[in-house]
Amino acid sequence: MRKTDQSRTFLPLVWYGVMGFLLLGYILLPFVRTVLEALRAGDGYGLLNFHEFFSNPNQWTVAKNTILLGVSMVVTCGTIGILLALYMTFLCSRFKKLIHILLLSPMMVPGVITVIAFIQLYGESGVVTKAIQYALQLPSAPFVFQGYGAILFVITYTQYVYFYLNVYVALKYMDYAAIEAARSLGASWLQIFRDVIWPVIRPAVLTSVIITFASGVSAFSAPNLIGGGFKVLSTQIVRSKANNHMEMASVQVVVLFAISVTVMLLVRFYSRRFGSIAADRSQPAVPEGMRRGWLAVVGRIVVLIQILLILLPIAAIIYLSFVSTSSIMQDIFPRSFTLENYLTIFRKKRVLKPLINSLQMSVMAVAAGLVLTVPSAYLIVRRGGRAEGILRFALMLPSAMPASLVAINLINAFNQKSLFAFGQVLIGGYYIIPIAYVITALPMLLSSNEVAIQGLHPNLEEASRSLGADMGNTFVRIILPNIAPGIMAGGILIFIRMIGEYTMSALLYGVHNRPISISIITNMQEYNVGISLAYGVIVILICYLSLALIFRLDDRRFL
Amino acid sequence: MSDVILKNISHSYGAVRVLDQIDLTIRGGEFFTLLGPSGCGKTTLLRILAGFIRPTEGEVWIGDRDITALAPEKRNMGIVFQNYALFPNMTVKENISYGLRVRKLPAEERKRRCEYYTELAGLKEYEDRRIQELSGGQQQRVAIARALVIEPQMLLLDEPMSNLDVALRVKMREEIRAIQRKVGITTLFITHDQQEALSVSDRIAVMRDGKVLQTGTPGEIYDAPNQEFVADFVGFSNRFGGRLVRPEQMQLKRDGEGVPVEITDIRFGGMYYEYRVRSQEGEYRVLELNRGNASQKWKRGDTGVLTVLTEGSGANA
Repeated sequence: MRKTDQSRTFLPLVWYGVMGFLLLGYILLPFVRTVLEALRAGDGYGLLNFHEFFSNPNQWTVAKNTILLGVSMVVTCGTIGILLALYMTFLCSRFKKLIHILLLSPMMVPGVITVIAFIQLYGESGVVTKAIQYALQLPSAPFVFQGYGAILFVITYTQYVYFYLNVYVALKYMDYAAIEAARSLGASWLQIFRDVIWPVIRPAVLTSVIITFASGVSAFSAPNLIGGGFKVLSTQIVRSKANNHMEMASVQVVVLFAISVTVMLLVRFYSRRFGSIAADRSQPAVPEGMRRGWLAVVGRIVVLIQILLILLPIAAIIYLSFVSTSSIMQDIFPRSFTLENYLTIFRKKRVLKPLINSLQMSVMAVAAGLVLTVPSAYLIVRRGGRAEGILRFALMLPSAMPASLVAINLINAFNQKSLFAFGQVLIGGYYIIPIAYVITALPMLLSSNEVAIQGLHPNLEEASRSLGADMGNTFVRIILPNIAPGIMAGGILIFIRMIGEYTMSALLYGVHNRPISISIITNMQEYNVGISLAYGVIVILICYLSLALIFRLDDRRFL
Repeated sequence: MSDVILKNISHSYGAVRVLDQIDLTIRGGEFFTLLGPSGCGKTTLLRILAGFIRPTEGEVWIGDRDITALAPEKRNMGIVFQNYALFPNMTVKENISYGLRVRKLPAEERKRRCEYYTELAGLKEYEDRRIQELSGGQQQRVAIARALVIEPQMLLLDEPMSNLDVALRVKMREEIRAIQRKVGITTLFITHDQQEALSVSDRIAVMRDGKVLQTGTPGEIYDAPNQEFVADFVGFSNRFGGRLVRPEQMQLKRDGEGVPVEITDIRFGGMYYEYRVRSQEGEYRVLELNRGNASQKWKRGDTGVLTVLTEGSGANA
């Protein structure tokens, strides 16, 4: 008996030891290093660097731009996302599943590819720009696709998905009888929204505000590629790092972190005043008459525009990837089709390498992330004590960290030999990028694993043990097969997010691990537009195939 | 079959004491029921027997063997859970044979036992179905077969009927009892339903607030409850002349010896009439079998006298 009791606490203890070592070495201490780097003043420490930052009007503008972008994104994404969720829940009747998947799909295309697709459409020599110019016989391009407006346009198109999906899921728990009750009592649609629907979706909206703001202030692809004179912190961080101003880069990421954490805490504080309201769904009948009103017409138009916006760039990028680069650059409507771009990628090892790198590093990150988070999630869900609370907090910490912060932390911690890397210098090596991917993936993987494990009734494990299976046998035969779909779905989602990752990659890549996102940009800048677009199409294809796999594995969560 | 003995078991969750010095002996081969309201500690006691919980104090013995510290997988106890806990990733057959597979029994033996218990539980034609394709009653049969196939020392049933509708409950409890008799296995049954407990058990222990209040045969528990809670929990009882008397043990007469009462309400239950009557001392319920035309015809407002029909050995109220 002593033996079984010991093994019940011994294994978790070993696990906490390993996790403690890793979380300390790769998340907590690197963050401390960044803060110290930001405070470095000559040989000692002080606020010199912060003083320099805040006394420089250019830096102030950069900080203000960053907040402006975050706030405007919340407004635009919130409006579009909530409208779409309401339309899909209450009004959409035909092709609902297809439209839903289409509306979710921007999440599946890496930001960097979205941006270059938009450039191909609306940029100076973009298809839409040229079409308008041609049609109206204008001497020059009708608009300049650059700066604040262009960034907001591109980001809104990709990031409304958080609002849309969260609100859509929250509305699944809406009690339709409550809407009918309100109507029968004489409430108008506006009053129904305010009094009946809003309280149900409020928690989802607040969560989305946090996520959207965070992704807005740390957005990198769009400001970097179409920002023009509109500078934000994330682009300046990369610039500081490239100029080897690690102290200034550290100050900038700390400011960025402070902005996103402050907003997160404010929203959390505000949302704590409300409990969440969820009713068991009654009959999912759509109230009669709702489908015919002017709201339905407006909703349908918004959905149509949105789908057009979603499909157009993808169509353009696929179309142009089959056209030679010279034709893309010269013709108004390129028509000389060729497979050259794809053939170059698959024939030349050097050109194929970034794709292989990204595939390898993403798979590695997902595998390592799952190895770390599955046992942790299991212990957190099943034991739920103080040690598990600390473990959970540490694993969720990266969700508060912008991608550039994670990368700068790693640079500060591993640009020299480190105990936590067993005496190696990781910066410049292959593994630093997969490590960064794992760190940012931990919170999402942990959450999806927790959901999967919570869905597994503890009785199943007890049944297995009472039938004679030990803990190991039970884990392999019962727990794993039953949680695998949920866990795999979470893993694939991370794979999709990592395969086109750009922000951390830009800060951490070297000759050995150049990822595809970097190659897409450099090929673009070196006027190999065709190759750049073919890369993009291949990544989109990989992402959509993965998405199809997720829907097979875990359709309840999304549909 | 050996007796299962619980010696002075106590258990606390933090500061909350959920079991308080339980002493019970479940005799080999007997169908023993723990009856009590929710939160009385009966499920904790079952989980201690199964080995999922180590009691704060006390010991669990099977025959002359102390199993208090034995891991659940080494106890050889068959359990039927309230929600059945069938493995959703396996078919009916795979669920039933799981315990034999983890024991690495030879294929032939596995097949023989699996077939026997599949047949016994009436599942022959469903053996290749997935769990999600079964009805509640069928799922329960799978859970029972899965628990029995390992030929456990003891069968533990944790409110297995609570997810079934009323008609099915009655059918399934009879089936369970029939299977138990056929296999002859010592069984611990947990329920909060007194009808269920009275109709299937060899013996019953009534629990409340972590304590066993009374142990006895269904007849003893019903006819001679040792305290008011037991009496109320296994049925309604009147406090009449300082004693607890069941409604069906009372009789209404037009006149003669007895306590004068007035009929305040009459309910027709099909098989019986239930009368609410009032005397100067209080109110009572009286049950009378419906004998058709032979039944007395009482009306609301009638007066009569109330007597105790059988001089039972009820506890003092």
